[in-house]
Amino acid sequence: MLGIANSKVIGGPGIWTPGATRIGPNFRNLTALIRKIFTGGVQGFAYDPNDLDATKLNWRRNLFTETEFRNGVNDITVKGGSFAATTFEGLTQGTGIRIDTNASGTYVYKTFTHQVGIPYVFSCYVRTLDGSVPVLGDQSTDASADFVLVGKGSAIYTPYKSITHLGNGLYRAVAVITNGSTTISFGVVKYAGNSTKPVIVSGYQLEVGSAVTPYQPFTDFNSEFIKAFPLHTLYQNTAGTVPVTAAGQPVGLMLDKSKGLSLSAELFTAALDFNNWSRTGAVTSVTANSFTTNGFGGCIKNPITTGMSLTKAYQVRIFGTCNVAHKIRSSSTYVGEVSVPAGAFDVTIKSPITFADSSMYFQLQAAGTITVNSISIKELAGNHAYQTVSASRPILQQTPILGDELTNVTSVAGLPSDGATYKTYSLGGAVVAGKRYKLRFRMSGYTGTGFIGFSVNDFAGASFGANGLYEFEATALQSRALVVFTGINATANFSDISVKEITGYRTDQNYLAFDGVDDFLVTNNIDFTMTNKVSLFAGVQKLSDATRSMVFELAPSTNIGTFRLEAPNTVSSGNILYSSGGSITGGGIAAIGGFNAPISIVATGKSNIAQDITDLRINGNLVATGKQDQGTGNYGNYPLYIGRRGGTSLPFNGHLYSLIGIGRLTTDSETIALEKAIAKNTGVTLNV
Amino acid sequence: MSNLSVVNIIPDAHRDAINQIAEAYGTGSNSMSVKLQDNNGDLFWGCHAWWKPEDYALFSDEELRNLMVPVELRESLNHLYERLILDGDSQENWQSALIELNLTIVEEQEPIA
Repeated sequence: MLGIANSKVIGGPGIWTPGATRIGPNFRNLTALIRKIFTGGVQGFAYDPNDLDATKLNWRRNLFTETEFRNGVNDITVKGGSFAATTFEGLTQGTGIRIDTNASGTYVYKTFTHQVGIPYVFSCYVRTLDGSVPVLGDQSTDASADFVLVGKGSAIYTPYKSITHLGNGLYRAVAVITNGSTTISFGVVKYAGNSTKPVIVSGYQLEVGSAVTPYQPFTDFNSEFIKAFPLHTLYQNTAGTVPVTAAGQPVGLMLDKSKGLSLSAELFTAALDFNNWSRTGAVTSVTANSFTTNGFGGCIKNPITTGMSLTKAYQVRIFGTCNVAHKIRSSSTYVGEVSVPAGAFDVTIKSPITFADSSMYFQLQAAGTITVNSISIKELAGNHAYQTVSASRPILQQTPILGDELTNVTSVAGLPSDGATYKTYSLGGAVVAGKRYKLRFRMSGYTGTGFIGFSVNDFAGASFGANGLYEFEATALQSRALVVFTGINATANFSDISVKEITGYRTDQNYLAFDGVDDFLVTNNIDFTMTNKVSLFAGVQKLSDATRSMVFELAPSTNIGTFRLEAPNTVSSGNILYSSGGSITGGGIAAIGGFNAPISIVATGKSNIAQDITDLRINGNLVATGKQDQGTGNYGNYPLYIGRRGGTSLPFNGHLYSLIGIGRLTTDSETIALEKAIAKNTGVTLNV
Repeated sequence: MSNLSVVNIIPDAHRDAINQIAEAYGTGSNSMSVKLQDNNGDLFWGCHAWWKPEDYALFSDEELRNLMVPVELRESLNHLYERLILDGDSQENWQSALIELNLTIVEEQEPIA
């Protein structure tokens, strides 16, 4: 329930070298298929818990599509004077451009169609041939300057320019471009009036904002690929500031990949001016981009843009500095809130939470001053699933790699209690303190009031007081012989006993673990009103048949134009159920029994309201077909609930490996390909 | 790693206070979301969560708790049932808690199919 609020801020020194050739084994079939099937703006959703690569966290910041002149002078988009391709040490490609003196000046520019009215930062790496210090000048008549930076077609002068020595003769020059003409050139120039000392340049970077960030090289650019699939989609908090990087972490935000995770054009295009923002009494002074407070609670807010939708998600990025801890909210509700420690900050919020009043808030936690250098707001396309309540967040887990079986006893019948002491039965193996194990056993015939347990953990850690099949992981707290035991006043039978050491974890079969109590994720409304057909694919492990469970459902409950998958539906027969309905709610039903928990499956639901098709496929085979009347009309515009009906009932006790939904009937080849890819993620072998 | 299974249950009268405390810790606005009842028909609310053990230690720290929790809400903590298991099975922890307190889940009427 009550976890401790996180305040971690992402950003910083990570370097991402994107490009299809660099993705390697993590660029899996499923991602490729998602990219392929979601074309033409078809509605849907695609969630993939395998997107955990922390090195892919950095989304595209560098606006240039080639940054190190890998193809020599051909990669200069605007050029003139005396220049030549040459080598450049210290970056990724070893290539750069030499700039020499020329009577008409020499310029090496790249172009970008920028927006007027918002700040940009241009940066590049510089060396001299003789290893001496390159001098960054202000203007064309600066005879001591070796070069000048140009942004938006104008020379960038003090105090908007700087140069830093990074060691070994490598320098990084930075220009903050707050205004200028509409000319689209950015780069380096050596005017005729500058020095005659040649310089070599490479590593061009152009980014939105007023502060330079770590260099993000682009050398093998596939723009559509990069825009479509940044590979990290799981975050611990709803605001999307704390990524999920390892098993055992909660999932508060799961980004949808069906829209390619593309970012819109900049929405925050007006000039920042805090003078026009409303403020609390603790705010004592305000400038255009800063304000000062005299104590806790000093707050300033303003509608940030018009035309933002209550149901869309936005990526909000803010640079600045503050000498006290503060909070940033992207709506009036705290759920989109990010706590930021004192100091320089670079916060990116990926918030699917509605902009309830389309406002942005800055609140200082003590007397202090905050300066905001840049605000960027872009729509983050997709039907992202989130959970604002910590207690209800599923946990990201990874499939264990198991060692040999440690027991030589698979069943123990009638282990009694004498009413006074624990009774143990040796399983023939041993566990080692500190190691982690996967345990499985079925308990039946339990009577009494005592606990039943394994010695792999302490008594409280693996004790069981009800019949059932149990499968779980635990760390051995002691090195000891492996036994099964009954507590005082208890007796039970054991079967299906298995204890295996966990020797590692797979990274290609991640899953969300839903606790069967209160875990679920939900999206904003997904508009399926343009279609009466859907295809749904889920990789699922059902852990229990004890109670009816909702894997996913469009809308808070059965309604007009909805679909849902249940595992199980009825308790006794291990049912899997897929249902779809138009004007007749839940009219189409396809269900199959015999899939008793625990079991992993790839479940596919395909339905067509007009043609009364409700098909359920399990592991690649059509196992149930519902021909009932679904009525008329299309699917609705509702939230998608994952793991719990309406967020209040029928909680799913199990694991979700993948979930994809698309607002059309997939072709046979698409269906088979998706099922195969999800089967691989789920650890299921298809019999097709 | 969030591997401490924690079940919390609270009588209906204190649900709002516990939810407010949870919200003060930044964990959302409706933590106690599972409706329960005992044999007398009295209502309770419950939840299950995986905690980091170190987070739970912080939450249990009396001094920190006094700093975080307003005085008027502290009484509710005396009525908060907590059941902890390190590792283990979350369902087992949850079901054991319901058995111990003799509670059942209140399900709204749902269509069977």
